[in-house]
Amino acid sequence: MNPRPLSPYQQQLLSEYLDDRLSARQKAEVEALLRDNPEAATTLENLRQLRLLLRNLPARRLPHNFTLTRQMAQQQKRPPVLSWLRLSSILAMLLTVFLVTLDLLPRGATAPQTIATADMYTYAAAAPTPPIIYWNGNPGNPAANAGAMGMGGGAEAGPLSKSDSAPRPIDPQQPVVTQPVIVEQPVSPPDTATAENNSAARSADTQPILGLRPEEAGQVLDTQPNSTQLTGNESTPPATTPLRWAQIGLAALTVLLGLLTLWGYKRWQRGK
Amino acid sequence: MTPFDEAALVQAARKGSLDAFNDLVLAHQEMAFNVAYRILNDDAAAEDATQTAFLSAYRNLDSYRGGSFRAWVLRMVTNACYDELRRHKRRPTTPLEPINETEDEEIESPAWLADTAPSPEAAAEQRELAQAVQDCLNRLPDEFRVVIVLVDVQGLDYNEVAQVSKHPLGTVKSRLARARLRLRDCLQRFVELLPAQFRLKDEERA
Repeated sequence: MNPRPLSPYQQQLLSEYLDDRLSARQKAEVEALLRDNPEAATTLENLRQLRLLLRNLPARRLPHNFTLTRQMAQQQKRPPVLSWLRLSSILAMLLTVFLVTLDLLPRGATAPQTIATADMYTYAAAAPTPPIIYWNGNPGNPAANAGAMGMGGGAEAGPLSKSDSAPRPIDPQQPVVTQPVIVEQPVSPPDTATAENNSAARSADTQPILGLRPEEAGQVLDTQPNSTQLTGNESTPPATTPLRWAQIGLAALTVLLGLLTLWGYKRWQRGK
Repeated sequence: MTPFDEAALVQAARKGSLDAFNDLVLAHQEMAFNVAYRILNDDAAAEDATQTAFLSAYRNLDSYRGGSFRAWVLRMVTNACYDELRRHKRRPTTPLEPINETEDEEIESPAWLADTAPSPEAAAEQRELAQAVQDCLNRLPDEFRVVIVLVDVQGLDYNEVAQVSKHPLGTVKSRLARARLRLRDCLQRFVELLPAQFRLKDEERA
């Protein structure tokens, strides 16, 4: 039986064992530990002696009785109105801080952003939908893709089977895809007029590559919507006046309530 | 005082009877003051904390929801002690002159006049031992000190301590075990002061 250091868990068990606070199972665990580890027995004995020492500390003599006099009992009661005043002033201050913070936030972070977002949706819906170009053939037409194997795809092509890796004879009936396949995106139903215009604009000889029409090549395209489209009428002044009035009113209320609370406390302290 | 009497006194105090409340104060003031003293290690601060705690208890009698009234009062005491400790940490003070407690006590209550008292040497040793224990208690973190004072010095039950400290029972047990071990380690520096019956095993072997 060599003494081994005790874990914090075992030390706590010993402490509780001393106060007889363990379950039967934990008690059995501690008793086995006491038999096996002399360090546990020493620690338990130390804790027992320590508790005895603390229990025998001399009690301090009372300097006087702590009973309350009538005067103390009456004066110590804080009027409830003071608590309400304090709470109200804190609430008013918090509201003021909130409103001032709201006012200090950048314009884009609040209401105007929502307007811009709605306009941007409208703009995006009206814009022509660019076609999708499949360099590896059209997935909607597998027959046309048969000859385009090996032109990329990777993981999207799925796991290669043994038959896939074997050389495949070229079917003379199937056309070999050497040009990108352009698939028109379906246009949303509410905007059919725009969709028709777009498809008419894309004739066979003006087919765009990567969404850029030949006549647009070399030009700088401004795809940003007009700022007036985004923010609406800029000449309208921002509606901050009610907010400012609320800030001023709340700040005044905070000062008033704070002064009232201070005055009430001073008066109550003087009366104590 | 039986629990029934205490409940009746609490009831009467809640209805506004100051006499009933003062009976409760008389029943618990010694324990309250001793707990405050062991936590604060200063008579004047313990006195202030105890008085504040009883005033606070009187003011907040409505918030007492039954259970151990002793634990409820001790909660007020420990709260007042924490306030005092915080104040002391914010504004630490040093006495202008070193206090010699031995001289003070000799003037107020000379121990050698009483026949039943221990010899001056034994009394001095007891005082030194008590001071050594108090010094070691002071070295503990506040939360540990409160728990060990309540359980080992005042003999409160774990559940009552959990009620006083508003911590789960597991926290109380863990803090108590750690406080006891730290205190034991600290007291090993005062082997010569420990009487034979309190000698710790390690010290005897050393």
